[in-house]
Amino acid sequence: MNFGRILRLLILLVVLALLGFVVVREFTVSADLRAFMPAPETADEHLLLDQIAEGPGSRLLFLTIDGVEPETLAEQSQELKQALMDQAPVRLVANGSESLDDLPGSLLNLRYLLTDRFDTQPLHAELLHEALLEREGELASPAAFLLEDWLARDPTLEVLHLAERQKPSTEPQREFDVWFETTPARALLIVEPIATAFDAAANKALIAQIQSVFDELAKGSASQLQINGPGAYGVRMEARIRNEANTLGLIATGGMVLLMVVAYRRMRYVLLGALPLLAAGLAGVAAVASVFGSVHGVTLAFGFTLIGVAQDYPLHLLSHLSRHTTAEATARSIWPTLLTGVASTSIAYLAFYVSGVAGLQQLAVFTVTGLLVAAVITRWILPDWVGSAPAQDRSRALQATATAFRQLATFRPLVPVLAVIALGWLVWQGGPAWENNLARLSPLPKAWLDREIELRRALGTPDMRYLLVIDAATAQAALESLEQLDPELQQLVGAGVMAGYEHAARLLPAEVTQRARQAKLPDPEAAQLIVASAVADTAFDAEVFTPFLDDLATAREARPLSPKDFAGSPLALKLDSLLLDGESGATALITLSGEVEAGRIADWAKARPHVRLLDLKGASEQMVVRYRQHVLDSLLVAALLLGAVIALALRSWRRTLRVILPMLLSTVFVLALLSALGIPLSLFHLIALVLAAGLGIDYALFFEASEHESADPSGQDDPLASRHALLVCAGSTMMVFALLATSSLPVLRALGLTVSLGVLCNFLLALILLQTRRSVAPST
Amino acid sequence: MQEAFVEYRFSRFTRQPVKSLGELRYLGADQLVRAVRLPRPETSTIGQGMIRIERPGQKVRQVSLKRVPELQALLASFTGLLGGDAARLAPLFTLDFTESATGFTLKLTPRAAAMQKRISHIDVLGAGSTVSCLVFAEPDREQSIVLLGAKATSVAEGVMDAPALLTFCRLP
Repeated sequence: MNFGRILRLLILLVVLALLGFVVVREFTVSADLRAFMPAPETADEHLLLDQIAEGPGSRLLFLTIDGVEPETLAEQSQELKQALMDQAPVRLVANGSESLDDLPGSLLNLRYLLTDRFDTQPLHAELLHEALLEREGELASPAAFLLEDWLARDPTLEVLHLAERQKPSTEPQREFDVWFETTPARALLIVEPIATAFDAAANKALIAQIQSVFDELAKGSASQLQINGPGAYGVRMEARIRNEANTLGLIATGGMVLLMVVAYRRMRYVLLGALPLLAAGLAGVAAVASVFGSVHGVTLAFGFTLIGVAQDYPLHLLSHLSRHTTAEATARSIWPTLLTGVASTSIAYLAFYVSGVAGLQQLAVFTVTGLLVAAVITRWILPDWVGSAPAQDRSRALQATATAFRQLATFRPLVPVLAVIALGWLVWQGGPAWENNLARLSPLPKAWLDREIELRRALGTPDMRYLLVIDAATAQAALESLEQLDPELQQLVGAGVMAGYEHAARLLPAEVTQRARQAKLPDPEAAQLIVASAVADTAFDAEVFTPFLDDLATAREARPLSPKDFAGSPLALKLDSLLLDGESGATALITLSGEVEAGRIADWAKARPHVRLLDLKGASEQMVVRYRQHVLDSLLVAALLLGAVIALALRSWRRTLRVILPMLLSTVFVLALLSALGIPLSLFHLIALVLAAGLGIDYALFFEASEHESADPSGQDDPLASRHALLVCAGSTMMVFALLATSSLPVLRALGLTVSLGVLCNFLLALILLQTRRSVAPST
Repeated sequence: MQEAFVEYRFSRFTRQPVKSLGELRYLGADQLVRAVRLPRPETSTIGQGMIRIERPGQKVRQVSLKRVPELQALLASFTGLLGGDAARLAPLFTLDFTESATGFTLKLTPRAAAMQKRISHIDVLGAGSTVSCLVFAEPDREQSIVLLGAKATSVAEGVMDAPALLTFCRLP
């Protein structure tokens, strides 16, 4: 016996060590929120998910600096920009100070293929002469230095024209050359990281780098840096979740230890009670890591909450220990009930598995593995170590509680009334309210998102909701369509339908257009004559403009620019995000900015066969609705399966109904309560409801088993033990989830509130519905 | 306090200097307005670390003075000279004062490297208590000669080369 228990423990420890090894080797945490979104079906949905992860707007970080006087802020903005451009893995840093020098050199030569200024009227002497007179005036101005580097090469300032064209249509105010938000004064910067918003590790490193660069340059100043944007939220969330989890976890652990000590009066039980949970967590992570390759951060956070159910298993064993039998016999006697509980909970999570959503599948694998492991350890390892049962001095207080609980049975007639009210309310409300906004699925506090919208508006970055989409056979065909549409888009801006727009052809004209421009450029001899006659009555020397003539000659002979020529420049990123060149054809996007009048744009797009307006919010809502329907269908199947499993275990339809009824009613009550509180249901509420239902089934099973046993005079079961176990279980779960309900994070709050309500309902209903009049006589 | 000025800017791009004329207004409190009338109207307000450039029919441009060290030098020299406050010049420039029969020359050499990149030195020419000309010498041998007050209003139309202008400045 002694040898056997040591062997079993050794096996467990070896298995845990192996699992630990797997976890350490395979463990990568991903933060790609797409894992918790439904699989895309239509082309628009694919586009939507890509936009969310990698679209032009989604990876931007918005930096603000405030706290000191504007001049210092501007200086710090400049220094920060410079330092980040030099050192950080970023594609672009913009703070409003961008000047001509920012255009890549290779494109500079070919500016005469990019500019539209000589489309209506080719470059000629009169035009150049006017430009030179302008430049002469500018030379006398204090801002002349801005001009001097360019004058010889670009007398018509095409570079400036191109730069102006690429600027956002709305721009924040500028002070000291950089973007500012007034009252209070804040310097604004945009950072475009190389990493996507969901690459948590890269974003974390980048944000730490930005912060340390800033701390270095702002040393001794009172200024403060704030970083907003999807990439930053992941990092901020992680820190915040960790902080809250630490605090809540500490309180919960303290509460748990206290509860265990009060309930069992043995320190050893505190440790033994934790063993199944620890093993379950480790096994769960290892299972997910080996099946999916990586573990999603949300799976991890939720999973550990969900396998909290496993904490109940050792409690059942400990409460049922008796001086009359061995621990092994006790474990054997509760095993059928425990196993039924595990099986029914697992079935509920299998519903998540078949939902087809990667994140939920991970959650299912994690939870089911964890619960099985915890149950096995409770059955075969714990009995070896719990020792003999404590003196049953719990009887007096417990007796009183049990008697008080007994009174609850008198409320039984109230239950149908309440059930009718709750159902009536839900029917009257047209069912529970659903949260269809994909953005709300995001576990971020609303204030952060509002601030981001404010910054996006101020900086004129693309609207995150509406996109115009053009499908074409090739990238060139797409560019040509864009050029044809451009005048109409300008009219729409003029009519105030939107503040601005952006598309690939504004960066890179179609090849036909570039060739047409080449054909209009003067040949070297003609160009020389043009310069000679243009300088005539100006102060300029014709010799000065040799670089200009060189550039004209280069542009005239060059191969037209293609998307490849942009590679490595800051414009490449923009171009890639606006022109998606795939195997089956090209898709061009037109992003809109400012306040967008969707209705009028939709009408405009409808009249043009190859253009369509994509409402990202609408598409995402459709997706959420479909996805939820999918999950709900799976849950319905799971509920039927669950009934079948319980019926199989109990071999009685009547008893099965008795076990399931409290859970069903509790779910209805919680739904009605949430609806009455005005809380729309999200995916996270569904997960929480399933968790609460799983707990409820466990309670009902143990209750029902104890009532059934005690009805049988030969039964050895101590009904007080069942009540003790259920009190400790429900008490500990209530405590943990009520703590979560106080969290400042919406997701944790949703989970905490739903589960604690669910546990309370389930526990009370089990007491009210399952107790029979005679069963509470103490067994000793 | 305000004074007429004529500025001749000698640039590597031009055969002859680009000439602009207008008024300089010193508003105190470190603020200087440079209002150009010809060749095209433009008002620059220099002060509070910034320069605002306004042209009729165009958006106001704001540039940090850090990017235009010559203007910072101009502002500092004006504040120092017009405010009669040589102590304010000392931290920014090394001062070299020479006097001859025809008047004085105060040579200001910037101490800061940033300013040196654009301005090699500023010569302040004058006689008695009047400043008549400022010469901004730039490292690439470009320069600006600014005639002030009576000199600005009395200079002959056709004088366009630097030595002739400097001689004119020295005339009593």
